[in-house]
Amino acid sequence: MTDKIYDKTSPTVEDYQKLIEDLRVRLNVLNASVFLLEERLPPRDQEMENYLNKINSELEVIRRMIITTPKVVFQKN
Amino acid sequence: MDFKDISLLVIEDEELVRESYVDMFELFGFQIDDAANGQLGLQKLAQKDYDIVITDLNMPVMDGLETLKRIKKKNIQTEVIVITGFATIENAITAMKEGAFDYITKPISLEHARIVLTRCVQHIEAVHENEALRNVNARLRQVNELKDKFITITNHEMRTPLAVIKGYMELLDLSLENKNAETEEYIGIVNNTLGELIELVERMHNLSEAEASGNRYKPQLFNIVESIIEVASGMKLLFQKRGIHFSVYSNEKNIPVLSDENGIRRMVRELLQNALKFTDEDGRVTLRIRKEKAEGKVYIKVEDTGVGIPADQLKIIFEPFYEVQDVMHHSTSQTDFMGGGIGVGLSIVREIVEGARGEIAVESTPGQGSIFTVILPCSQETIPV
Repeated sequence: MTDKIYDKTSPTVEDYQKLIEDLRVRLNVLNASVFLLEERLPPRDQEMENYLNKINSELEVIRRMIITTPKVVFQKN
Repeated sequence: MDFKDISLLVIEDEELVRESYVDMFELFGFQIDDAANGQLGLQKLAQKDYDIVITDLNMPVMDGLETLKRIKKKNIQTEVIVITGFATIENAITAMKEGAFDYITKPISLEHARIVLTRCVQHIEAVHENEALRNVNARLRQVNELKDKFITITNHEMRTPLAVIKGYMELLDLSLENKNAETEEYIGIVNNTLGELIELVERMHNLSEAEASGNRYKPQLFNIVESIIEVASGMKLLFQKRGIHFSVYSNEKNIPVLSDENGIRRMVRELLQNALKFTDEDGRVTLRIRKEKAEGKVYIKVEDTGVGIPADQLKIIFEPFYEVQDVMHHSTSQTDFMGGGIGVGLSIVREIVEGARGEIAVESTPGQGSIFTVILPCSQETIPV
C-alpha cells in the first residue's frame, strides 16, 4: 500500500488545544510527583530545601503560564 | 430558486397596479410589503430592513429616483429595482447609475420579472457569502496570530524554567545519600515527566521552525550522499545501542543537489529517528540513496522492519501532532525511549520535502515494516570531489 502525500495542512486551533492539554496533563503529573517526593524525602538539610524551593517556584512559573495562556489564545469565536 | 427568506417592498402609487405587483411577487414566494409612495416606503424601511425594494420611478410626493437615493443612503445593501415605462428608459439608466440593481419595463412580464429578481437574489446571496468568507478569513488571521503567540510563550518562556527544574532535580538527586525504593520511584517519575515536558517543548520549537522554513529556505549546491552519510554516522551508535542492524547504500558517491542542506539533514535525521523508534531489537533499518539519471532525481529510501502503519493511518501520519498512540506501534514504552513526542517529526519532514520541491511517499505493511521514500530533483551542476 502506497500513499503519496500531496496536500499540506497547517495545524489548527484544535491541534494547539490538544497540545496545551498535553502540557497540562504532564505538568499535573510533575506537580503531584514533586509533592509526593517531598513528602517521602528523609530529613533534609538547608541546601536540599533550597533546591526544592527553586523547583517549586519554577513549577509555579510554568503553571501560571499554562493556566493563563489558553484563556487568551483559544477564545472561541 | 427559493425566495421565501427574501423580504421585498413594493412602492407604487397606483393601487390596482400595486396590488397586481404584490400578487405577482407573492406568487414567486417573496415576503411582501407595499407602500403607495416613496415617503411611505421610507417609513416602512425605517422600521424594517428589506432585501429588495421594487419602486416605480414616476410617483407623486417623492419620485422613485429620490426614494432610491435615500434607500441607498440608509442601507447600501438593500437592492433596488426600478420599474419604468419605455418613455422613461433614460431615467431608469440614471437610476442604475445611482445604485439601482436593474430595471423592469412596463408592462411587467412575469418571466422578465422572475429573471431580474432571480439575478438580484443570487447577487444578494453572493454578497452574504463574500461577507461570511471575509469574516472567516479575519478569524483565521486572528487564530494564526494567537497560535504564534502561543508558540512564543510556551516555546521560549517554558524552556528556561524546565531547564532550571531539571538542574535542581539533578542536584537534589545527588544530595540524597540514602534513597529508599519509594524515593527512587518518585525521582524516576519526576525525571521522566520532566523529560516528556522538555521533549514536548522541543518538538513545538521544531514545528514553529518548520512552519517558518518557507521563509528561511536557503538553497546551496552540495553532495547529498556526503551529507546523508554524515547524519547516518552520527546516529549509528543509537541503532547499535538498541540492537538494530543499520546499513546505508548509495549507487553513486557524488550526487549534487541544489537545496537547503540543513533542512535535508534534518529530514534524514527525522526519518531515521522514526525508524529507530518503531523498530524492535534485532530488526533492520536500511537507508538507500539512488540517483536516477534519466529522471534527474535522487531517491532517498528509509526502510525498516518495524511495526508498520495501518492503512487507514497512512494519510494522516504527516499531519502535525499526529502520534501513533496504539502501544503496538511502540517497540518500547513512551517513557523508555524518546519520550513519545507529540508527533511533529514527520510533518517537519513533509515541510522540508515540499520546500525542496520534492515528493514523499510511504509504503507500509503492519507487522512487517515501512518504507519512506523522498524524491528530490538533482542539480545539473557538478561538485568537484
